[in-house]
Amino acid sequence: MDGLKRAFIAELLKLKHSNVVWIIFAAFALGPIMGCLMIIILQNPILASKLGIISSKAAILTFSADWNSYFSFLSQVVGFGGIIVFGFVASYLFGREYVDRTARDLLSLPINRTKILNAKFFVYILLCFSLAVSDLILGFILGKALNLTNWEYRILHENIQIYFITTLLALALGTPISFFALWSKGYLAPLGFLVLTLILDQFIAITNIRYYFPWLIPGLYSGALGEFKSLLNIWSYLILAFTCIVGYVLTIFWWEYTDHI
Amino acid sequence: MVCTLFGMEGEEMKVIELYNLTKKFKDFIAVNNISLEIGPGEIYGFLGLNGAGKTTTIRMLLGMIKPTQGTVLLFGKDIRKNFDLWNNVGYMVETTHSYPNLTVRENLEVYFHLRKLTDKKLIDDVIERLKLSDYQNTKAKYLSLGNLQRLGLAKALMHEPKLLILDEPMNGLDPAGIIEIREILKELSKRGTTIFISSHILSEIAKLGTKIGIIHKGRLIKELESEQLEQQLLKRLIIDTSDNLRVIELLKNKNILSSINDKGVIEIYDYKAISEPEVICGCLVNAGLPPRTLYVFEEDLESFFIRTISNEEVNVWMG
Repeated sequence: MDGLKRAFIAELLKLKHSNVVWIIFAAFALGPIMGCLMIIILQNPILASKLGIISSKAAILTFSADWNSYFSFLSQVVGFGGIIVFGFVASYLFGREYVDRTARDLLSLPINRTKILNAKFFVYILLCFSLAVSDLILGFILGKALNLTNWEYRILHENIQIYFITTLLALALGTPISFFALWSKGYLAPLGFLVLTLILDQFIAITNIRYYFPWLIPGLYSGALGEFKSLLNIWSYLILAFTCIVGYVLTIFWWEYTDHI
Repeated sequence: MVCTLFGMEGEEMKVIELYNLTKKFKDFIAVNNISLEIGPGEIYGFLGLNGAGKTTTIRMLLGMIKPTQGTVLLFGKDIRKNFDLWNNVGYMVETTHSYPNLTVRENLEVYFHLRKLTDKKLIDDVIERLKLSDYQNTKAKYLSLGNLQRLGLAKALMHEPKLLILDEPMNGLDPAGIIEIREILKELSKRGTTIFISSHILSEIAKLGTKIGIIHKGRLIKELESEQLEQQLLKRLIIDTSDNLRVIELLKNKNILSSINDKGVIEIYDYKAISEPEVICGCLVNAGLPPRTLYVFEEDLESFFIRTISNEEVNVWMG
């Protein structure tokens, strides 16, 4: 346990002075800001008519200027945007050792290699939850500033539950990214894989297998595609869990047993 | 039973033991059946051309690459099954790299935690020892190559390891830096640290190594103690006088074979003459042929290395 704790502290130290972390936080903050922008448009019909495209988008999302809509929007940001941003986080945490060329220094240490990777996964979880919480706090601040209606404990409770479960589902998809980062020794392949999943999302979203495609499940759960959420079943969640476990096992197995040339 | 650097009573445990170590990458044999043993306090110089198999061997030693065949033991144990033993090993493989956005001190703090160390004074000590005090708050990305190399060595030395494995540690260091590092390594060796070092600066290996191994095309073709090296380096006596042909005749009468080389000076390979040049000098003066030049030329390590490899090539070619 001491080894894991020390590796975790070392991982946190590595994030010191890291500009990438702040850029990721800033990028993720665009979600609530965009939601806020749409509410402003809805609250100002004259402005809405001048900005036709954004107005239409707001209408498509069946957006209304209340807390329920805004929370639902934030969950959708995590369900789709989270996969991208969390993917960046995993790619950065695992790929940086090759980009900084420090990977060799992690291989022959008194802490076993699996614990070093587990420490990275813990930092990944910590960062992703911090991102989710930061968006939620920003959402609260912006929602209050916009005087959103329907502030009820029940709505708050339900939406926060959906928000964090969506976060958890999106977060689980970081393990294949970590594998690609180690396997390709850098950022390019994991980000390429991320782009591939986004392209596949577009096609699979219109087919009946959408409920079983792991990279669509967080988005569906968040309610982004309306009534489709109710069609997610136990197999959907099992497939997502399986993807997460396979990604984790491959990451550990590769790091432990490959020749680090 | 005490099991540190000593095994059974009176029997010295080897720090590094490689037995029939082989590594194949598909059909390419990078390391071919290498066996060697290194004891406590030895400085083992590992020489080889680029692609000879030095780095592959070092990475197998460090558990970064799995051998296709053979065994690696450090301190008598398979280190891949004894993680705590890695704290007895410090290493620097090829050009050192550090986290660019972290300062020198922060970089060391990362490895302080990864090595499960508890005494923060170790960081201060190694910073001072490697003369990094002025740069301790400088981010690694702003360091010169020489100071980056010092930081790499600081990471390798911070935990005061019993075994140091260094791949080209002098890279990027200025002459003063090379001397400092040489002195540090000698001091560590005196205190019982075993050092396994590969370097292309062969003169450095000659100054440091207590034992030298030459690897060529994956095979360990020569292994010798530094005293043996002294004996194996080719030596010749060089003489130049006003009449070199008469000197050749004079030496022939004394049963000493000599020849005139392409620069017109006399070369003598006779062991006795080389070991007693003052006797030859006396003979020449008595014969009215006082030498203008007389010195013993000793082959340097570079020449010895190239000669050894060339001989190996000839041996392989001759079957």
